[in-house]
Amino acid sequence: MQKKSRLQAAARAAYILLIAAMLFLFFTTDFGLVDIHKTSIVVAVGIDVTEEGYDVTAQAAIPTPAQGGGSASYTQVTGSGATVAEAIADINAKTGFYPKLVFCNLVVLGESCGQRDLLTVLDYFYRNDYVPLTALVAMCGGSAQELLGQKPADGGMSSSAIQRAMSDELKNSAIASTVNLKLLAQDAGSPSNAAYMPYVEYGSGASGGTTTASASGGSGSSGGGGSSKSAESAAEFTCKRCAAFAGGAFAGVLTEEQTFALNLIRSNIRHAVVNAVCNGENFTVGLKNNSGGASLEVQSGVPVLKLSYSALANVQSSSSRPAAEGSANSHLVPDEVLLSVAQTVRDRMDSLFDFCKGSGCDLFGAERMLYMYYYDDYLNIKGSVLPALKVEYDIKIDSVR
Amino acid sequence: MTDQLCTRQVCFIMAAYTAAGKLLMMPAELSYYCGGDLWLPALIVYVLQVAAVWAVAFACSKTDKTFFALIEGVLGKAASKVLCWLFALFFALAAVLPMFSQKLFVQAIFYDTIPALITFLPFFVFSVYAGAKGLKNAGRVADIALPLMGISLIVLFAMSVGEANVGWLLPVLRTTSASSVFSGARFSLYNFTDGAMMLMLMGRFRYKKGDSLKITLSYALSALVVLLFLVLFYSIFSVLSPDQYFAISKMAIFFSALSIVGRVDLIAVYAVEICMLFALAFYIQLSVTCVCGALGKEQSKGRSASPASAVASVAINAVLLAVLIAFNNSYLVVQEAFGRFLWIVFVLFAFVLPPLVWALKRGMGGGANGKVSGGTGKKAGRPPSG
Repeated sequence: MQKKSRLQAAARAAYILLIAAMLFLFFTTDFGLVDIHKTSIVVAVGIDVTEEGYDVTAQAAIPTPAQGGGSASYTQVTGSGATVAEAIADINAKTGFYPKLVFCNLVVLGESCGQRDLLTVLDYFYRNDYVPLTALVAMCGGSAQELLGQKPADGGMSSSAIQRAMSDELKNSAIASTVNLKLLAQDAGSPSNAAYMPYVEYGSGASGGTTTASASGGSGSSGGGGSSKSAESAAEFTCKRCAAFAGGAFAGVLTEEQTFALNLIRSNIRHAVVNAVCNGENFTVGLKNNSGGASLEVQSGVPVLKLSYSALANVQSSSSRPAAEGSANSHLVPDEVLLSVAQTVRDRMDSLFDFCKGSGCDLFGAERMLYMYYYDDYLNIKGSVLPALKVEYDIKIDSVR
Repeated sequence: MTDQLCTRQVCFIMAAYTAAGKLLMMPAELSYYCGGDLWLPALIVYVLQVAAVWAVAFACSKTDKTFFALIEGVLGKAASKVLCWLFALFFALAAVLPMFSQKLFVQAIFYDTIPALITFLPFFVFSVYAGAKGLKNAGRVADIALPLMGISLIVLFAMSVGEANVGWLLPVLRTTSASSVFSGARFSLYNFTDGAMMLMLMGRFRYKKGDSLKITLSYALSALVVLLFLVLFYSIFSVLSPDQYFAISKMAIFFSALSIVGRVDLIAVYAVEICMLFALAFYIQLSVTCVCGALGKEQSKGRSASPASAVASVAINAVLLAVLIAFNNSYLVVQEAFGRFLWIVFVLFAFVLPPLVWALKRGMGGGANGKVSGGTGKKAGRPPSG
């Protein structure tokens, strides 16, 4: 009996040891631990369309062990291939490590990507489970490789500087748009079949003019890295405009005013700034408690888009009524200025509406709303909603009291 | 009858284990067939399953016999043993696709770029052990699993809801054909063994007044959570939904704080994963219980598993492991086989058989209000009161 209980105890101990060993395997990826000297973390990817297919530029942070005393660095590598996936495999072949895209937070499309279908270019990122759908997407003029090769003023990675130009703060101020892979696919895959993304531009911080890229060159080369600064070549990135796509094709770039209007309608804006000219004087007005949006109604078979916007305004700066002169309630906005601000907002929305109609790019999501809320009407007029679309504005701007 | 479980544990099993397995692949599968109406086939199947669960739970108020004891009383011992074997096979079969899902989940979410089969093999060590332990053990685990899963789901829901746009669900019931709804229901049926599960729990807990309501409500609550999860899932991913396997691990990634603090949502996902593994092991536990019943052996001796139970657990896990190895890279083939052919097995065992306990009870002569009492043959319980 005692022998049996000892046997049971031994069996139990052996079983516990076996489970512990298995758990150890389980949580160490079967000893598949990663040597950080032989890996890199891709934080941004740039895509350019070439005659042969695609050039993909990966900007990768290289982990450095703390005990080694090294500082953080990065590298930029370009691979080529018939598809984006093949170009990424090319990067692998050139660098010796498999680029992990788990931490890829930015995908930049070069101007040449406008020649191809948007979702075809980005196909790899939707098929691959290792690319997060939270990665931001943007387009740039010229080459994405050149853009990523620019050195920002802080000497860090250009991808970080670009992401700062698309920060939540700028988005909340209606200055920049922010779109990630998920939102892009949802817009492009909706009945409206239209999408937009920030359009990245850069200029020299020192001269203010546009610089040409001085990035690392062709395939397989690597550059970047280090903390050396060059005030002359430091690039400043802005995303005040938007690239628009209709049916997967590039439809054009919105102006700053049109982008502002789009942001008022599509984003949750907390505080926006508008400059209005009233009686020949400049009034810069801050807008808070913003509430904007688009809705759709069908009136006698005609789709009517209703663009609404309301906000509370206060004067931030005025050339005619300096606050230092002691005028009471200097932040109050005169009625005529309010009207002027409302007209400015309306003009910008109108300009955006004209762009959408002219380019056949349903950035307002009118067809999607028709599909959702008026399905019978959608069946009747789908595909020809934009030409038939009418617009009504409801813009209310009051002064802060 | 030996009371292996208390009513609370039965409620917890019907709430936690039935929901856990439905949060991985089912949302993507249903959205593939039904788009924004993915909740509809789930709702239809759930209504039928709630009815089946209620039928069995309410039958427990009339008899304290197990399902197999009822069969034995009406159709004889041979029929009872045959059904025991059939249910053992059914629960082993029911474990197959969830096991494949778990394997893919573990490989994709926890193992980055190394999709090796060996990464999932430790599961079988756990499964052999848990499978042999019997239903009493399952009840105790459910006491922990339900709160763990409840808290984790609340956390994940809270992180996800900000990204949801219910507008993507529109228009409701306009774009999905009846055949799509049927296909969606058919291909998701492998997740719905809940009626059969309740059938196995019958006679294994001491019924008190109102217990059938408690058990049915527990299950209905679990159904509601799954339906909410489906709605939330499509509200977040819309057109991307059909490709979003392992839904539970992807729902919260858009929570803005995660970009700063990292994937802390994975803590909740790990917790849900633990519940999923126990839910998967529960199939094996039920299969082992049926095998032991067919062999006429006790499943446990005191706190230890009996040799018969251990051998049965090893055998069932060996078969499952063989299936896993044979179809290691053929998940879609297995899924297709279940959706096209084997779904009828699930209809039979989880939807048709559970309500038949009422016919069996009448066959035992207990009468409409009479309580049929008795054990599993050797252990007689209270005498019939009706």
